[in-house]
Amino acid sequence: MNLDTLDLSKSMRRLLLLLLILPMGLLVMGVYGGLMQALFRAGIITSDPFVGGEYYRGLTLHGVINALVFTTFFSVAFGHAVISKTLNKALNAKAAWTSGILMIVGTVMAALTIFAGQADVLYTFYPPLQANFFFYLGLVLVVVGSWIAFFTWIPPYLEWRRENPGTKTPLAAVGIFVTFIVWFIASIAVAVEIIALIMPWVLGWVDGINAMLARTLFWMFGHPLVYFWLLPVYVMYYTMLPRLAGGKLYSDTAGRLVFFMFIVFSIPVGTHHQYMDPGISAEWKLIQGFFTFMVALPSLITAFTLAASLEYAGRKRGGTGLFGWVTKLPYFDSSRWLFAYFISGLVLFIFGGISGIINASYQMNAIVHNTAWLPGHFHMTVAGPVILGMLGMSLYMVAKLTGKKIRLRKMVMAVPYVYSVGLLMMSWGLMRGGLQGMPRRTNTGLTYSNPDSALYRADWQLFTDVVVVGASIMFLAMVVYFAAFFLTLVYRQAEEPAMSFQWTDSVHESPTPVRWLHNFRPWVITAVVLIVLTYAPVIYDVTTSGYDTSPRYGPDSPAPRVNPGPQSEDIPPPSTSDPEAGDERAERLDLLIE
Amino acid sequence: METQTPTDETVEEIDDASFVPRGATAFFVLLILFFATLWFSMYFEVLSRQ
Repeated sequence: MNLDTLDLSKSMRRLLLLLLILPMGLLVMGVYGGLMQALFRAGIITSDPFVGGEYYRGLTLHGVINALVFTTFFSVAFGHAVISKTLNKALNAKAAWTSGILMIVGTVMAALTIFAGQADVLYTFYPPLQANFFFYLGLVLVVVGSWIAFFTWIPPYLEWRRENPGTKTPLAAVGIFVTFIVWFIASIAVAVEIIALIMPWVLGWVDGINAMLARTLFWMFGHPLVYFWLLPVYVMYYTMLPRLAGGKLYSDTAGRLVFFMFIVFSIPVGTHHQYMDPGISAEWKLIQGFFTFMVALPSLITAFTLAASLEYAGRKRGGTGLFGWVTKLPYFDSSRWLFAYFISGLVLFIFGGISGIINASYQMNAIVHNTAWLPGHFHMTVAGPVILGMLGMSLYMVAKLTGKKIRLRKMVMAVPYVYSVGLLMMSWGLMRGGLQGMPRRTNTGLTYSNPDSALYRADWQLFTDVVVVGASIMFLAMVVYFAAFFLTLVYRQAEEPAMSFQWTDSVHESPTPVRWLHNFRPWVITAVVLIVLTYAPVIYDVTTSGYDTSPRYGPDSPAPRVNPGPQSEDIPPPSTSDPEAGDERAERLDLLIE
Repeated sequence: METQTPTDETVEEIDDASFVPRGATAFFVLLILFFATLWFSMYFEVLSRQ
């Protein structure tokens, strides 16, 4: 079913290419940084051999580029294309360019502070770790830029609704709007965190920061962020994968229900990241834990709907018996190379999903909290279906937008399979190590993986080694992908550039809109009510729990930073040569803690 | 997917109205059992540490 006849303007095509190619260039560094993380943690390197830098600098770069920049740029570019093509509407190119430029300026700003060693605060930038002001400003610009992109889609959509009364909004457009509704609501929380709490503290206008409130606001944004990553890939799964497999989507209505459920349940869940945090009452942690289980429902519906869609395709291709259809899918058909990216992501998501449910289980969280289990889990979601879907679609869109044929296509098709093997190995190593207490966000190469250290853990060595092998396999797969991506870009043009998608048909589809799945408003209102009900008590808890505000810290020392700020400036730096100075420092720190 | 157009080996005609996803249903049941197995293995791991 082809809905689109209107092509993107030349200006919009250029913008989309910029939004896809620039973060892909940065992703090269982000992926390299990921391999370095594995080598650091195994003790194979103690400093980055090529670009220098410390462990936490590399970790910040890896997280910010891969999880924030690449995903946001892709989602905006994909959103522009999907909204324009499904509604057959031209978008406001000036507004779209303004959005893109803000995002690029913000990214450059944040990246420069990271490279300069002024923002070793990881992608979560938890206070009281403090980065350079421009790191935060850069992130704000990226977020505001993405909001502007979202706002450019609303007028053409309202116009389309007026022109098409009684017509269902195309499913892909529903998915993109849901993605950005979730993103917009959630990113208000992080905007408040940065603008109202962090920036005044960084600028020295206030002496300390309520770290608990900042963490709460971050996770009010940080968990829905996961769905902001995932939902564009769900759009691909629902509207492209079934046709790619040779079949149809089993139920269009199920797809709509899934997307709308994400509006309601994506946000009142963030406190499950704070089960171990003080200052929030257990009741509200449990309630948000319950909603985290609720947000698993749309993913379970998706698992069934996509399996049914693939079964339809497999049976059409000659599959018989209960599972014969599984063997008939086009896993190695290079003319449908994108199928490999989708199916690999879906398989990885099985493991990412169940490990997420374990994390969200209140008491169970105690044995995985802050261990290597967590990166093991989230790499099987964000580095699994999310990145694979986005990589595949980036290459597809770039080829369409430039009119070029995809180079190294058979190798491109093999990339997700090889990558997935590496990812499963890496995540296994991290999760098994995590269950034995291996910490996350720690340069274990200096201690637990270092045979010369008193803290050396020989029983963790196997897990660290498997992580290195897995990460190396992922890295090699990514090298092939990057080669294909940039070769495709520089190769000669084969046809007239034209952005197009071919959407799937549905087995079951209501010809007219289902009333309660037609309008966004009731779902958004329900979501806002639920957010207020679940978060007001949590915010109240963290603002009244009696904890004092915190001075500034850096990753290089467990003591507060000496400057700026009156609370910390009189505390002497650590000294190994003057025991008295050390005692004085300890006393002052005790006073500060009290 | 250069074009996303099925070029295929379609060999079977399926009546959409009568299509019942038996395989997907079985897959889903197995998926839930798999999830339950992993979840309970972690649950017993928690109990063993008390």
